Amino acid sequence: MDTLRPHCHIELVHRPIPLEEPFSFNRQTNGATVEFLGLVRAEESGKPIVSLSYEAYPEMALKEMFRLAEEVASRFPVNSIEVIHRVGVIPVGEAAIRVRVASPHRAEAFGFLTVFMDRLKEDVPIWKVAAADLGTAAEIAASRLCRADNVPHIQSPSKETVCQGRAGEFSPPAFSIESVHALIDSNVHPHAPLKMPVSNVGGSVSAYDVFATADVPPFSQSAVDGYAIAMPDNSATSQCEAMTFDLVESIVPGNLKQIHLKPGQAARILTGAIVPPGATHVVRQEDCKSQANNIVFFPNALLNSEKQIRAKGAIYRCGERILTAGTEITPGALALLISAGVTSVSVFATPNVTYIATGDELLEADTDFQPGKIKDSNGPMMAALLAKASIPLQRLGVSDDLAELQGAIAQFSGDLLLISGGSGPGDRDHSAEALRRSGFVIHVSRVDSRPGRPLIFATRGRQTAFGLPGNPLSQFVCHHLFVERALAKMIGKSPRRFLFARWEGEEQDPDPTDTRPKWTPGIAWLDGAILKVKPLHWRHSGDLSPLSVANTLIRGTPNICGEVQILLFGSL
Amino acid sequence: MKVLFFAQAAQAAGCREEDWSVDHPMTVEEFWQEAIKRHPALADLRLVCRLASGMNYLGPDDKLDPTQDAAVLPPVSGG
Repeated sequence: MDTLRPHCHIELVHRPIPLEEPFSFNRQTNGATVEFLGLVRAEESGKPIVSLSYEAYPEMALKEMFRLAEEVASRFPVNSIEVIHRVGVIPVGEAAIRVRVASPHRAEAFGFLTVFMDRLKEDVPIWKVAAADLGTAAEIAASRLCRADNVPHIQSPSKETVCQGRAGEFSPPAFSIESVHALIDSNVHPHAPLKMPVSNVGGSVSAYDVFATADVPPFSQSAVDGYAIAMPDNSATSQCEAMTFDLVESIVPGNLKQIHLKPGQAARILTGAIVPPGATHVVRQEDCKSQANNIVFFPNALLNSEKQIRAKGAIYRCGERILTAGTEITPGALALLISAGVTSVSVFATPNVTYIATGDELLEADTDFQPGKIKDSNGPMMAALLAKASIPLQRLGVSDDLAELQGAIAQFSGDLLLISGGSGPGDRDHSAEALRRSGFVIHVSRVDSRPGRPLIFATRGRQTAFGLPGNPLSQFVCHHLFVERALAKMIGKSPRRFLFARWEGEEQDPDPTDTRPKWTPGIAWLDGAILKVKPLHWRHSGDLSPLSVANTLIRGTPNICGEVQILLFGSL
Repeated sequence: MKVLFFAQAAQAAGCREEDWSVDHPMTVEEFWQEAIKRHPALADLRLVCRLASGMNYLGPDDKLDPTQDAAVLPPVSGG
């Protein structure tokens, strides 16, 4: 039977797979060739990306691909099989895998490809480890330079193989901040929209487009305090001749008197009042003189007088779109909606957030200190942070006991669960286990960040949970980096962006022994048009004094241009 | 026994490769106990990861050969 084995060429490469390369097969015995190319798309988990990174256990991946090729070929007899899988960083549009087969008839070739690809995705130890968005493109360029292709080839004597790389050389950091962001973006869902009275929607995000239900302004109104006049048709307007009109009425806003100006008549009118029918112009009061029952002005007062009237529907017509879906309803937008006759708006509902503080050592803020115990500063801090987004926080306290925590999680029926403390690997850290036992899927349990390393991100259906480090500074950082992002997604807002600021701190030598991205509280300010930032001195992660004045978190150390990324959370 | 960690398992373990001194074939349960003792974060991945010994996937009743490389393999996502 051995002679009937297909000709197999299986390869793992660290270079681009050429899209046009001759495929060698026997043209006398094969009636069909089929090629499959798996390309990296510009989107991963709903997020735009520029590349994907693949990691492999190369020796085993090759072995498994051979095994699979033979297994699948026993069902779909093909004569030649060629598989090339690329690993490392693969830019969008380039191939991650190419499989080509040749067989006597097309049915076997198609069948082989379908089943082989399905099985490959189940069993071959190759992993997509990170997606890079535009922000990390520079990091990818750097990582490419680091990964030279001067690694040994592994040649199996019995089969054709070419393998570059060894176990463990292909891995970019899997739980970088950006990876966690991508996981949050793809696993947290916006809430179902809720129809609310318009006066209560300030600060929310509109779930749908909003349309004017009335003309704005709803009638022709005066833009000034002055006089509405009805110009006679044949009035000769010599620039030096004063014009006189009979003053017949006074109109204030809200006045609904039915009047109709006749040529030669004028009516006193205040800003916002209805311009009466018959009026041809509105003249500013400072351009007129009032004499007994007349008003007198010179014709140059009529220059630009069309600006003194706001015509009905000149700003928005009834039915015109005034707000697009996903827009935050700012105070100005709220005023616009109300002026356009909108009475209710569908907005994303405020998430229901529960905060569980774990630990036997915690005391409420208003109790006296006790030996060995500390005050729970995190709960009130988080409540205050969420209050900035008008989100109420329900607080619970549980002991360090796994069963008690699990019970509290099992009862959780809200949208977002925050568990403070117990996220690390210690003996009394039960958050991960309690979440798992309560049916949560854990996506992240550790992040490349200092502070903020022990962080759990988990979901159960549409519910989201974070296990936050108990240290207040770490919790503060994790709130701004991750919790806030999940909340933004739930209520339809855009996530907070990193900004670049000019570093005004002391020169820093990078510490080559610590590559974890470090966050430092700082103060950012605008110097003219230039955003500048200075780090605040802090003694250790338990020192909260810098947090009390910080308005920003600084990421790492400045680049060669003297700029540093910041997350601005306060006002400048 | 050389123990290799890949993808999220490497992230959880904080390393890609370790040498364990093991002189007898380990059960899957024994392996995980040791792995989680060394790297508690691996506990999160235990339910989803498969183990390989000598580049063969292990079933629940298989043992790890101390003379072969062991590997902790998260769910694959190649192709």
